[in-house]
Amino acid sequence: MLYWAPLVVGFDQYFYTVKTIRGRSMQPTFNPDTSAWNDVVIFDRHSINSGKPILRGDIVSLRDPIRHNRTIVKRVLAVPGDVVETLPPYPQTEVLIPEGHIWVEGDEPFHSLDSNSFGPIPLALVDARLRCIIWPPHRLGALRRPTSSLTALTDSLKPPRNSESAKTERNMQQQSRVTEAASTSFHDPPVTRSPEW
Amino acid sequence: MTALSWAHRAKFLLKKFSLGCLHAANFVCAFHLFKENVGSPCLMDGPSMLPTFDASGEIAVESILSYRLFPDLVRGELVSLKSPFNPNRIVCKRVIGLAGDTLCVDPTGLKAPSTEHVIVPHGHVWVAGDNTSCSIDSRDYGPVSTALIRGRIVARVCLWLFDSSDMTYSDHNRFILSIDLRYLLQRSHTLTKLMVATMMKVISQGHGWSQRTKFIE
Repeated sequence: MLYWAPLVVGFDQYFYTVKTIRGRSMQPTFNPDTSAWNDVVIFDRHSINSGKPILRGDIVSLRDPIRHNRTIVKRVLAVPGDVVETLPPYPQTEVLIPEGHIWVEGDEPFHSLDSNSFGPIPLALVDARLRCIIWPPHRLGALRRPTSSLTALTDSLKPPRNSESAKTERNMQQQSRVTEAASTSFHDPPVTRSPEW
Repeated sequence: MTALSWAHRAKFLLKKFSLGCLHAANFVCAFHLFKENVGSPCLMDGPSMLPTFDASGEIAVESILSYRLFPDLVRGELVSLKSPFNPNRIVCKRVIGLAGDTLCVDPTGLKAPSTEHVIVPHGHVWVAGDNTSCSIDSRDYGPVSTALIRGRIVARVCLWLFDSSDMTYSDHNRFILSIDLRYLLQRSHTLTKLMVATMMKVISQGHGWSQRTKFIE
């Protein structure tokens, strides 16, 4: 049995793993007060190892830059080249994200230790992308990036204020603090081709 | 009859082949896990550590396990870390300052005015290459988080066939290890202390053991 352990551990370390999320920094995306359980989530390490670009709005797990043996879960707010308006603990009011770094924040603005306290974090610290919640059963489902279009907001505002519209509103508020880089998307920068001759 | 036996044979071979593949995958996984969690020799490239390591063709032994077991770094140690600019790149640098130290960003004044000073924040270290004029290090990306550090560089392997000037001793003409003896002594000292401490604990806790030692005394 122990003979096959490397295969199992290798799959766990480089492809997919399942972990429980503790703490309230990502409320209400994870561990909302209405739920009695801690969320159990599938972590996708393969998509990080294979070099797929990290996009704004992804939820990632990363190694804590201050206490190096802890892992934290945050949402990506900005990618290299973006300008972010920071929140109070950070010394500057605006920051340009340098090459190879991202800006991460928790969804709960008051109980989260995030980039506002330790600055932009290097991509090398990112461990996995979070794919879907598998426990508790009533919260089962894939985790998606927040939609940035205005129609999503108006659609969700049609019913009288509910948790969904509040979520969209908060995401809009977060996104409004980010000035995106000049190139439209982070993974295909503009290519300048020199003439053949 | 013969067709059936052939089918049987093919089935048997296929089974054997797939099992062989699984064994190979298992071996590759084990090898990779050992390399990523215990340590391995690795090829070094680039001029940033020049007096210590040559610009190309140097092989260094990276010990990841020793960093996991003893994460307290010492000023002057060589570490390997993931580059903060490019997550796919692993670089080798020397630890200059630990958390809480105040240090001059660049005494040479090349990349920052030589009057600029910085305090290394908690959970971070300041790293620099030995070749100041040709190194991308903390002067460019600031203090690095200890979470980026992979392991220590503990030894240098030199191929005797290519380079005889660095030779320290030779028992075979294949590999010659020039190991930083002081480092090994320091670590072995810690290890022996740890072993002695656990043994003492075992002796004091285990009844049979303590009785026997008393009896012997």
